[in-house]
Amino acid sequence: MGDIMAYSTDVKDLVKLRLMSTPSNIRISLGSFGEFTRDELIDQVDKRTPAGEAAVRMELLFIRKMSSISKRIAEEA
Amino acid sequence: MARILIVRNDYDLITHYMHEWSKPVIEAARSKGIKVDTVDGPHVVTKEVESRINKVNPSFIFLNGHGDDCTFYGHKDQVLINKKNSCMLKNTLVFSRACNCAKELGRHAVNKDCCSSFIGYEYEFVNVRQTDTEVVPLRDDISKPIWESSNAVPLTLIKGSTAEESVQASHTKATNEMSKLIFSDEIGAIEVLKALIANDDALTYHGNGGAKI
Repeated sequence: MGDIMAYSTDVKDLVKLRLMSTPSNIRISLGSFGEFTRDELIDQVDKRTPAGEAAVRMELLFIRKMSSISKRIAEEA
Repeated sequence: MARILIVRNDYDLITHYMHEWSKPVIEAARSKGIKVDTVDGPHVVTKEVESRINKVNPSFIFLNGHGDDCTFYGHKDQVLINKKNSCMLKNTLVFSRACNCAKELGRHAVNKDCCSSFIGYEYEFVNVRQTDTEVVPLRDDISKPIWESSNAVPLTLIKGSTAEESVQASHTKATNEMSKLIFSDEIGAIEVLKALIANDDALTYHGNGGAKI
C-alpha cells in the first residue's frame, strides 16, 4: 500500500467522515496504540498520530479490498 | 508426544482477550494428546520463557502479546524477543499473535534459522468491542469472529496441518465471517468487518510453509 504517512487532507477528511458512522458504544483496539472510541480515533486521524495512521490504513484497506472480498465470498459460497 | 508452549501476557484489555482466547487452543491441544505448557502474566519475561523453552523443547510456540516490527514484548512491555535473542526460539514453529512482529522480527528469525516457520501479523492486530457490556472475552459475541479467525491458525496446526495450511484456514474462516458481517445489521458489524479485513491482510508466514507441530 502507498505511503500512509503522506496521506492527503482529502483522504483524512474521507476517513474522518467514515469513522463518524461508528456507533458511540464501540471501541476499536489498534494493538499497542491502545483502544479508541469513534471521537478519539477521529482526533488521532486529525493529529496524524501513528494510531491515526493505522486507522487511515484500515479504512483505505476496507475500501480497496471490498470488491475482492465480495469475489472471494461468492467463490466460496 | 508433541509438546507446545503458549506464552500469554495479561496486563491490559487486549492482552486479556488474547489470554482468554488462548484457552480454546489449550483445550483442543490437550484433547489431541498434545502436552501443553504455558507461561502466563508476570512470568512472561525473557529469562523464564527462555528457560521453559530449554526445559520442554516445544515443537510449537504460540506467543500472545504486544509487538512492533522488531520486538515481541513480555509483561508490561518489557522486551521479550528481539533480533538479538530470537534464537531462543530454537528452530520451532512460531505463531505470534501480536502487532507487526511478522514484518521484521519473524523474517529475521527465519533467515537466521532461529525458527522453522514464523506465522504472524505484519500490521496492527485490531479488535472491536462494545463498551456497554461486561468485559468477558469468551462471551463477547461482537469480537468473536476476530478471535476465531485468529485461533484458526493454532487450531489447524494442532490437527496436524502445515504452517501454510493454517494461514489459509484462517483466511477461509475470516472469509466465512465476512460473508455474515456484510449482511448483518448488528451494532458494530461494519467495524468488526473492517478489523477482520485488516487482520486477514496482515496475517502471513515466513520460512518453511510445510512446517508442522
